[in-house]
Amino acid sequence: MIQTDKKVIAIFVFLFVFIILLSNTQPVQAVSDGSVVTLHVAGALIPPMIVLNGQNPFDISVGDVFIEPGAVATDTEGENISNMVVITGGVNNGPVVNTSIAGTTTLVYSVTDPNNGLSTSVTRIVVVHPIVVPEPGPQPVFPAEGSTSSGGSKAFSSQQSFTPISISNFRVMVTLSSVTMQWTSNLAAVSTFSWGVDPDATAGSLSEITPSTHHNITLDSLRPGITYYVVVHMNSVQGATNYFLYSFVTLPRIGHSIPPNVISFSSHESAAGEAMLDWVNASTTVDPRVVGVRITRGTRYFPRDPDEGYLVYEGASSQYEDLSVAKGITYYYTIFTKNNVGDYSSGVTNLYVPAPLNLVFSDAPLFGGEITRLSTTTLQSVIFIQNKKTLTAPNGEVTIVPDAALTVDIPPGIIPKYTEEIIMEFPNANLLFQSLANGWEQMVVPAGFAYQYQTPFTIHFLAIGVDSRLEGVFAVPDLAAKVATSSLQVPSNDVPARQPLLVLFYASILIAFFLTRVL
Amino acid sequence: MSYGKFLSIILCFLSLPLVGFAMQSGNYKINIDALDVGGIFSSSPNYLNEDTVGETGAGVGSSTSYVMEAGYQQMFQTYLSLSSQGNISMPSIGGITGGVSTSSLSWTVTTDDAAGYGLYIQASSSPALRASSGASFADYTPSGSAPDLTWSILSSASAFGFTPQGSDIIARYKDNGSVCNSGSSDTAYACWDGLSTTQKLISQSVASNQPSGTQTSVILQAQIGSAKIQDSGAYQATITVTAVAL
Repeated sequence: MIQTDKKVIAIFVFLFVFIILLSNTQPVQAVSDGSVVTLHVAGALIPPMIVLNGQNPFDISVGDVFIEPGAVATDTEGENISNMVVITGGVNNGPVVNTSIAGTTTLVYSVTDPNNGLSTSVTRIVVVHPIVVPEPGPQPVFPAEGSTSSGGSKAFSSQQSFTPISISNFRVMVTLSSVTMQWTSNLAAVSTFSWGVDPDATAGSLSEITPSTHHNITLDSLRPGITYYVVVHMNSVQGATNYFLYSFVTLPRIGHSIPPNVISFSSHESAAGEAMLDWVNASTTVDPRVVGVRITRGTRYFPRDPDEGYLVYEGASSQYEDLSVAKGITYYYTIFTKNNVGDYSSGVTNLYVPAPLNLVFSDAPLFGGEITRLSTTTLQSVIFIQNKKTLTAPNGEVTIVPDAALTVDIPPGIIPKYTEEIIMEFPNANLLFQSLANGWEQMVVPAGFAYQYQTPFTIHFLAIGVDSRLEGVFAVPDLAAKVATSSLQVPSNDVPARQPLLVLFYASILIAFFLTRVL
Repeated sequence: MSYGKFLSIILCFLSLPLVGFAMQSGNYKINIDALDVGGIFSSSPNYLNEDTVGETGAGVGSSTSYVMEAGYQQMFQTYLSLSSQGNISMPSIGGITGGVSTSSLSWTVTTDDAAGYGLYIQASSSPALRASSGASFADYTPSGSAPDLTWSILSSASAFGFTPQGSDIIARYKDNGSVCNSGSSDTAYACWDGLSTTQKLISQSVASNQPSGTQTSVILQAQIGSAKIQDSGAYQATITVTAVAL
């Protein structure tokens, strides 16, 4: 009975604790409704389009009324947003053109797509034809009164002789970088066409060769969005002259955007051992204005813009083999996508490292050689040891004694990359260095120099196709100076001559001490 | 009656009140009720009042170890409210040219809990900002364990993150002008973190703040790097905050 009660108690205690825990696992809390955050990512950001009604350029004469023909604008989705077009450039920066004076007015039609915020501008050139003001030409040479025996002495009346030059059908076509002007003169004339960026129009001039009534002059290589001034002088075959002034503005660059980068850009070694560059062009469905790529390279860093570095390739292909790479040099390529208005993408980079020489080339003579003369500083890093003493090589000269072996150690830090052999060349011998765990070493016996006063030497660091040279001179003291030289080069660990005297000195003290104790 | 049975009955009675409510139906439950003779609920522009009359044994009693709050009016549980925040649309970004889009959400927590409250944020998916096509923005990843003082992603990446602002934001989102999780400043548009499907504590207080409450704003930011081509379309993130009385 007692045990049964204990079980019952245990069950209730368990339930009691469980309920307590249950009641405490529900904190007071408030949960918000899920807030939905929406972000629209536009695809290729295509600016809206504007199509001008009416002529462009729009020709009008001085005094005529210019009625703005309007424009049709559509957004990316084809919706008509013509009512959002803003026209500027006219009187008070509005759409009105002043036709009271001759000249060119550039009206700018702008619209912004409310969907993506991109804007488009289109220009209309309104040409108000100039009024040609004749100027007195040189006086025609009249025959002497009555000298014309035929045709009547009044054949050249002053009225006929001073027929002024007038022009008509004046047309101007302006692009981003050029202008074409056409007109007709009532008299056959030679026109001289001067232009410039200021009213003096002194930047250059062109002249027609043959007198004509039809005139057509084109200037190119102009800068976009710049006001140019033109002075045209006409000289008729009859001697009449005339001129007119004109100004125009080249079309501004519009519709700029950053084209997308290429999708991928890689490099590998071609079968010819050159750098083969491969890339996947940006899709023209993403940006229909993409026209190609431009690849530049550097040898120390990636070009950051299309005008930086060495121009490697420009075009619409997707592969190019760079034939001007050299072994042992790392190349940093950047590829930029270009659109039809000359904008470039941010660029994609690729590093090309030519395969090491000793892995690719096994026959040095096939590839010629390259000589690199190492610096004196490098020579000073070569360790010359004689009589266990390290010798210095100031100015590339090492003073040695002729009758002691010389050890030449080359530490690994100064050995050019890819070196496979090191040879020390003397006028009458070549010594091959031995490769050790910590650098290269060679033993030289100066006696082999036959006591020449100076012996030049060259250390060749030979890689496949590369011979890096380090030049120096062994200066051997002459026999007369041999003793003195030797005395200066006593090895530090040799026993000094005075040492036996010290031994005798200490020994004598000990003996003296011993004798005093004994005696 | 044996000792065991007696104790069992006592325990049963002790357990019942802990279940906690008096009556319930399929749709509602009454946590607290009282048998008294009257009462009224009244209000003014600034205050609410609920009184009851006739309840016996009501009031506060105490000893050195316990405080007893007896009666209907003593039995109110902690009050906690969380304001509503609707859906938002962030400014569009070009999928080719890239760009940054920034918006914000705000919630106000009001509580009479003397211990304060905690406000947690979480996203319904991982990564949080996704398109129906499967494309997504990566959740912003700080460069270290603390949030990034300034927003920074690779030009070849896209990311979606947040930073909370308000007087109750926790130390993790405060800065000293140089780093986050240090100092006491709440620099605007600083200390960026990424959302996740697990709750992240963003604000906390240790005192009641009724009746005005405390607002916490969450600045959301999405960026497409200049070298990243992000699929076009509508991306959505569902963000939920939870206020918990401490």
